Amino acid sequence: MRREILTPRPDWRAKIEALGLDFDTSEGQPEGEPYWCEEACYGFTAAEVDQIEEATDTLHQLCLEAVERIIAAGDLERLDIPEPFWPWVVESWRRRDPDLYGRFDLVFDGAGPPKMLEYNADTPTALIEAAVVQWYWLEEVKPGSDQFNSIHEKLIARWAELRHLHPDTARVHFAGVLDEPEDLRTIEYLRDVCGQAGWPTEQLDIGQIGWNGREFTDLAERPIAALFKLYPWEWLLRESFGAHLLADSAAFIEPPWKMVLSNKAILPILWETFPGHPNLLPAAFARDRIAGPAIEKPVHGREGQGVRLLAPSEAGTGGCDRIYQAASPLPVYDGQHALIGSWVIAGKAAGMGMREDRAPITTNTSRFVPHYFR
Amino acid sequence: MAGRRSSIVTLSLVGVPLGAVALASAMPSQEMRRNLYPDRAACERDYSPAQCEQRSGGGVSSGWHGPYYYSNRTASAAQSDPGAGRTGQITRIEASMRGGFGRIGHALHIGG
Repeated sequence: MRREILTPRPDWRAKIEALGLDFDTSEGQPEGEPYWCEEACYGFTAAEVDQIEEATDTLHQLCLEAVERIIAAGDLERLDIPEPFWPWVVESWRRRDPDLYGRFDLVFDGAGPPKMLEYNADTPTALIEAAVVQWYWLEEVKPGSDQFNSIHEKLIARWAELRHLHPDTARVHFAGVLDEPEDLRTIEYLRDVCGQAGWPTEQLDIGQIGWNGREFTDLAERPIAALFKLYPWEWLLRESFGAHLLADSAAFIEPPWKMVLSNKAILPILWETFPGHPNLLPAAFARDRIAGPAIEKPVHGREGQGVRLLAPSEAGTGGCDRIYQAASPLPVYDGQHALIGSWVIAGKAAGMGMREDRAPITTNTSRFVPHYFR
Repeated sequence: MAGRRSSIVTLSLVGVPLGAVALASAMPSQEMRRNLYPDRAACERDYSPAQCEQRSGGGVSSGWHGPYYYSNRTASAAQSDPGAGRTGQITRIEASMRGGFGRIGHALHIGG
């Protein structure tokens, strides 16, 4: 695994914007450092990609086993899921409601095994750049190389499977915060691949969803039978329509059981369940259970929000809404901390995207850097 | 090819200018209503023929819907809606709530 310095394509900005990457989350980064970075790329060996793929598949299986154990033990309280929703989550798992995708954040330096930092199992973003933009970059800049990235075609295949599982559902509704450009583009992309799978789509803002007393409805008052929501479960549960979810009137993508995994509390539960596993880091609900430096994470935090690096003797914030994970510093190349986002589609590893930052904690402003392997 | 990348990546929806997309922008929770009439003639006494539609999923006896209007008749948006009807020859009033999701997401976005 190495970082290579490159000369960007002269018209790179126009090219990435034409592919839908016309939003820039790099606010807060030094001036002149846009979100998409092709002044460098990461190169891997095929053996390293094998390691990442195998670790991703393994971690997803561990997560599914953890969900099974949590639900069998009635342990949803530790995940900060409100009690009225427990039977609904359990039923979703019992039915094995099909899921679409997720993204593991991994620390990996090419030497030791990849280790899980977290699982964005509900509303992962940085999708277009991983699935599409870096694919076109490879075609043009490294045409003789390969890339760990079949995200696009696996998404189309998964949507086709989901359509097959819902033969009576005429369309999928896609909802999110549409005045957030990254969310809008992510939804547009997922509608695109859903459409390529032959399933018609409709789009509406999450605030435009209606409730007719029996079902959620779209702007034409049609019942919403299948809803892709780019909106976290923990927010939906706590909003005024949250109680209507219990009517179980729609197929949700991601399904309700995914809220078990999209929650940082899964990290200590995984460590309790599989202690010493080579792809996991020690994690606990109490700071004093983690020796040495630790990372404090809010249970419902996103994109690095609220994450703190604690020195060996430093106490944590405490409270039931925080977990602690042994610090495992990201590898540093040319002053950049590099993180692997490893995508899971239909339960299998599908590709990866690299993020880097001068700071040790990756956030939504961290830059996306393409990769290849030989 | 036998590699681990997608063999082809094509797009059709992505790339429409962001400003071209109509957005709800933090729509407040509100109740919308529409009248269900026993027949088409009763609906057309309150609304134009184009605003009346047969209730879906039922037969002729299932009734006719008038258009949606705001429950809160003092809301500014109610000034331009079709109104609640005048004749009162209705089977029932059906209500639909909107804006029950999205408060947290829109608030966080607005708050940066």
